[in-house]
Amino acid sequence: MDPLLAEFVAETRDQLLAIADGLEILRGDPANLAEMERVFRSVHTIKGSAAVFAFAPIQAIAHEAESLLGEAREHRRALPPDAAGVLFDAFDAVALWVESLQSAQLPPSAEREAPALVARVAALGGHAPQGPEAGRDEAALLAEMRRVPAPIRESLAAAGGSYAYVCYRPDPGCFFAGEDPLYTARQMPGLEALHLETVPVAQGEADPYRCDTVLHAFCRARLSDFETLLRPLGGQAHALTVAANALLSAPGPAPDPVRDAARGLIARQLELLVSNDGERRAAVLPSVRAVLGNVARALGPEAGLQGIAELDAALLVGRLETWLEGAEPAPLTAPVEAPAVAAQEEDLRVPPALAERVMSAATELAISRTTLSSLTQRLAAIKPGPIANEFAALQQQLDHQIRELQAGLQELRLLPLDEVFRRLPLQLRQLERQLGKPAMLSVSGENLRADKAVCALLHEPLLHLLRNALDHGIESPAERAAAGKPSVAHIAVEARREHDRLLICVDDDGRGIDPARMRERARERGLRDEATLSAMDDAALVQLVFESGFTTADAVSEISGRGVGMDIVRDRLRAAGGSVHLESAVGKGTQVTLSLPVAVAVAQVLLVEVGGQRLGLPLSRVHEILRPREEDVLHVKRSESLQWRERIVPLVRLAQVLSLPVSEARPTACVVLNLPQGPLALGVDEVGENLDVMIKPLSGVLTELSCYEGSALLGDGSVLLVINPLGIV
Amino acid sequence: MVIRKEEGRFVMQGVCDVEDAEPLMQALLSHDDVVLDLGPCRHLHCALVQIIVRGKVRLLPPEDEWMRRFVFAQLESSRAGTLSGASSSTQAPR
Repeated sequence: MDPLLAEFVAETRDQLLAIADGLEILRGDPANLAEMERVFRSVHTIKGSAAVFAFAPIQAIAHEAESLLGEAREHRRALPPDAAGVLFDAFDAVALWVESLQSAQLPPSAEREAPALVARVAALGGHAPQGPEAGRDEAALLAEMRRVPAPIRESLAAAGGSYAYVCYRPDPGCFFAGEDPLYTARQMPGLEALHLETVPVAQGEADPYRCDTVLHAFCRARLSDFETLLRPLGGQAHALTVAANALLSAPGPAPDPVRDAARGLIARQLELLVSNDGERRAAVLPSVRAVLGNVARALGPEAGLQGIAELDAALLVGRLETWLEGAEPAPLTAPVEAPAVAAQEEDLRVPPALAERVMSAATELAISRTTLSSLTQRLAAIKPGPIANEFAALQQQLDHQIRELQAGLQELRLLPLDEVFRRLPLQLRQLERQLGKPAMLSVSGENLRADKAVCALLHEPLLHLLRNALDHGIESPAERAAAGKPSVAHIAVEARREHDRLLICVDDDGRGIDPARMRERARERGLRDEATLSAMDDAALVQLVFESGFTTADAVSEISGRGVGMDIVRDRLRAAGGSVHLESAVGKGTQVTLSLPVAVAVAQVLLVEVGGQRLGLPLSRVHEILRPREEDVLHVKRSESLQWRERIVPLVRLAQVLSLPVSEARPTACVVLNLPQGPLALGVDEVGENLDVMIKPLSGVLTELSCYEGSALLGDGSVLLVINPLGIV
Repeated sequence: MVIRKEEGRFVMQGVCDVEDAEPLMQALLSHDDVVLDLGPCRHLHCALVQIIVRGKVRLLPPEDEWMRRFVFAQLESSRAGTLSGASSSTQAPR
């Protein structure tokens, strides 16, 4: 995407978010001036940025909304009670158009939908939409044009053709509204000349924040090209097409005697040059040059005659002819189109592809380091001594530096979750409208940061969860009233971080999932055999919603689709090394928790050995490694516990988890893991070194095994399976 | 704030917005023979142009093509007093 457009999308998203926040408050409190002001400012910004891309539908909506809010905040007209709702509809539509932007072209739906939305917003203000300004009196506009100094008009006239003349007389207070008339001028297509007419006031007496400038612009463009640019300016700007000759025929300021005299002199010099050639021309040349030099000085630099006396005779003839025809001197460089104003890029923005490249180079570097580490160890074993020590010291230094590099690079990839969450209110409002179920969304933890890939991955599952919650979870207003619940449902989306995992809970206060009905449905569909179903407890039954093709909805609606959704959520998360968990209480609501790694790039693992197999344990979960004494291991019935720091923690043999033979003897080593449920000791045969690896999610049938987080390729080319500590209990 | 003082001149940098109006006016009022370097200036807010038109300054041209062609040329001429339209002779009616 064009960087300027990307900037527009990002900025407009922010502004739309602010508008939505403000409207939410105005919905309950239509007289809240501070919120009115906030929404007004955001609307104004959107209008301005939309003008840069000539997004007329957005400009038109923003323009009407701005007028409405402007009148309200100046107490000229109270905001009607339904204003927030109408504005929500209008800006939600804008949000959808903006989200669908791939190029500087709005979707066709924008042109179709905008007029009705504009009319609705305008109706709130009690008037018809203000279209482009009706043409002002042509004579008055021509009179304005005559204020432009004659030399400018002459030079434009000399180029022939016709111009669009724009007279822009900004409101004196426009700076306060965030307007910059000069920036507007920059957007004018085909700008050929711009004249700024400023009221003369002594510097010390002038109000720097009052706009005292009138802009006169001459453009090689059609009037229709200005429609989108000038419409938002309302009566401040007027445009007219003028033919080149009309520029001069307009009576200008008094004739300039110096210039007229200069013309006569120059015409005479030209005649001298043309009528003589060879030696005679060479003879007159010095006097011609002397005269031209004087004329140039008298006329000043604007006349474009600087350096003319130095030209050779042949060039001089052409140049003088051009000058006399009224054209200003040909510019030294080719005329350029007015460049669009460059986006303000004070922040360093890194293209994602470059960040990826650097990240993957750093990953390779970390893997090389691992290889080097094993070489260093071998060297120390074969030939201990100063060289091996130096290697080891260097190795340590390198470890540290690479870790720093990786940490920095991972930061680069982290985005605030706000990027994902900010779209939810819009989606919710659309669902509310479609389903007729009023709901309130509260979001927390949006400032947490997660890997870019994680953020990208979260969007769809969250949307599914939101749809499911409102479509299936939340009852109809009548049902809610009957159940004694507030009519407006509540959906909470909360993000929090637990070590290197990101947890996102979507909590609704709807009807919950009925385990008995789940059992019935599962039986009908033959998802499990009768014995299994009877043995399943409520918590296990509700997890069946994640089975493919399962839905608990009474009717399959267009919102949540036909039984797809929750299985997609599960699959998406699994593919990224995540998991999903659901809890539900009948009549009270449902909570779905998504768990994802914060970063998907490089992780540190602790190598352990069990039953002759090497496995990795995420180091972030490792609390302590110890070699238990006989008396530390306690046996209670068939389970084992470990006495650890004056506590008793459950002991689980990794061999057992992996269905490997378990030895009768106590484990050689125990790794105490930090789990949400509390510490857990994992018995292993041996503990090795720490490694930096890139964990890739498992594919195929292995994804079904919750005890694995993924696999990693080691420096020696072997594959290491990494244990998911949360999946072993 | 994108105005900075440098070796006896004021340098206007990047996109100079309306917030720079006050500091610019102060700079022009409190110094004689001000040299304003527009070299790195990509855009001047209209408020700043008004201040420069009214001030006694020597200008160094902007690198930005649009600025040079449509703003600097006129600022220069208004300073030299050779081009009436930019400042003195016309009274903007309201």
